[in-house]
Amino acid sequence: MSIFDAINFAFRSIISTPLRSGLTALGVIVGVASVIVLVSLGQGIKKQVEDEITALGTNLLFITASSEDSTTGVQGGRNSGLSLTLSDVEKLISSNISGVRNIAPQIDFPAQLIAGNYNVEATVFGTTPEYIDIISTETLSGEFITQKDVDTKALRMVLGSEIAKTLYPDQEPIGKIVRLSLFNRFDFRFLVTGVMKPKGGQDDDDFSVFIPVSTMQNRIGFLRNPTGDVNVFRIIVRSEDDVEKELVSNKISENLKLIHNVDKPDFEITSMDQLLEASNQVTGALTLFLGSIAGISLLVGAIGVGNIMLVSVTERTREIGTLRSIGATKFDIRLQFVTEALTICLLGGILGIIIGIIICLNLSDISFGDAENLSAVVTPTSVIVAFVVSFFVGLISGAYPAYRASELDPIEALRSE
Amino acid sequence: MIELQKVSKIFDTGFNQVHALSEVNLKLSQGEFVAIKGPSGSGKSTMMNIIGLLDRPTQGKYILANNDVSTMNDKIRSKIRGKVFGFVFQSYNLIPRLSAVRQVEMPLMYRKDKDRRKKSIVALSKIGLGERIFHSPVELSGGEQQRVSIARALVGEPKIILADEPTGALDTKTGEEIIGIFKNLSEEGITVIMITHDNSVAKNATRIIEMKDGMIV
Repeated sequence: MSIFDAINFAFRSIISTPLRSGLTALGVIVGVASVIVLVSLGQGIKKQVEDEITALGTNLLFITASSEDSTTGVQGGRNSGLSLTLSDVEKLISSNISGVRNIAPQIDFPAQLIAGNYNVEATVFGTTPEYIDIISTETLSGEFITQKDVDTKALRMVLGSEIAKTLYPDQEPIGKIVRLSLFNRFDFRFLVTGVMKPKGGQDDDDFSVFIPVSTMQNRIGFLRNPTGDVNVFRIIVRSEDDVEKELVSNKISENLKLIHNVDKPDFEITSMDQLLEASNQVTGALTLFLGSIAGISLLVGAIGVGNIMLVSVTERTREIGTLRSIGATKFDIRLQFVTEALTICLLGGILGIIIGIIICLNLSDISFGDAENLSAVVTPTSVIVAFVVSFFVGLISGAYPAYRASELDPIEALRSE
Repeated sequence: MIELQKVSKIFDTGFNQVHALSEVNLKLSQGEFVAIKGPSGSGKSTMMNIIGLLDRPTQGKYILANNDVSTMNDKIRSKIRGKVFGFVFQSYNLIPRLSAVRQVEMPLMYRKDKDRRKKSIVALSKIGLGERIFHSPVELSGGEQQRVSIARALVGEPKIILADEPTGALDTKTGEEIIGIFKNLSEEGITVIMITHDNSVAKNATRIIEMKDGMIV
């Protein structure tokens, strides 16, 4: 018996019991479709996270305080070591490290902003003019913090796009006065000098405002530490495009160790690549987890196919005896039943892949309240894997019933009703 | 052509041993039309199954065309079975979902015969069903279904036809037509071995073998 004949024969068996075959295939269809959808969702989340990270620019290095030697802080926790200061930033800039394009400090705290009848909760960033280059964006109107603003500790503020929209829904914010209220205790009045271009998505920068770091340092005194310096939560470095980030990172580390006069770094430098790698690990695990859940439904589908094939062998016992009497070998019988299981699984697999892709394509249209729309990315790998898996599902679920069929005693089989 | 030498078949049921065949000796030559008679349990079917290579003797030798086939492996026996024998059953044993022409093609499918459609139509025409080749079993009468199964037995050009009560489910007139076909086949040189209860059917054969308690009497 040739493979072609076996497939032909399998098709005839399958279409002779359309409802049963359809329901059996449905198990595989649902299984394969859910594998495609859930794995694609995982990939979609992965891509979203990746995009958000790379949108910041891939050649950024973040220097954060690390409390490895501290007895008080939580290691690696935010502000834990408080070992970074504004003067570190100035010293790093003046050491003119090659490969470094810009360095900016970042101090942020949440505050209430009030303008007329509107108010909003925003993240206030204290930084320097270089920051706008580091986050590779520009202003929509007005200008970003200038060196003059920093030098004069000016009460000037640049609004993120969403903040501007909320505070000034129908007027031009430039030139207006915004009240900045901290814990209902401190109250400052800032002149709006610029509005940032929207970055889109849920980008934090759109919900932030920017003020000169010196203003923060001198006018919002609670940030000052006992030595009179200002602690910086984070220093952001943008390296040149064509340099080895590892090398720049090492140079900064060496310089900062000298500045801090320590042997072991009391800070941590994280590159975008490391962030990406970490996020890929998380999203990869998520994809695997989602895929495994879907795999369970595929397993149930496989059990369904195996079960129906066993029923089919029992029902067709006499037929198997007849086929043996007209010259079918054990191998021919096995081939026939395995081909039948394979055909059901592959047809189910193909349909499942198509349905899965259709669901994925429509998934991004469904919104979930305030959350970002889900996006599913169908990768060729997941399609190929789903197809190969449905092939093996057919092979495995068909193997035992086919073996049972081939080992039937022809005489017993012919005698059965 | 067929030679059984002291063939015994013992079924071990666990409680006792049933001697279905006891040292049966039998020689059949080409073109014989043999009727096997006997009460149920006399060993007719067991002997037929051994001759048709569906079963193996417990003891004794089975020589088919000068070869000892009792010890060959299952694959070779399956191939010989398909090539040398044609089976006709009391209840036709057609595959319900296949049209007549596809039923008849099945034995050739296992032999990977490329001309099977043509040969199948020839076999059906020969048996008088040339007009109904695309009908499925449910659309055919009992006599027609038995003709399809005879065509299926004949399509591979067998040397021996094994028929187990081929007229058992048919009315007298249709039964006679089927026996007529067997007579013609044996005249063409095909050995026909037929099990029957019916004396009026058996008398058409050139040789009648009576069996009782696993022995030829």
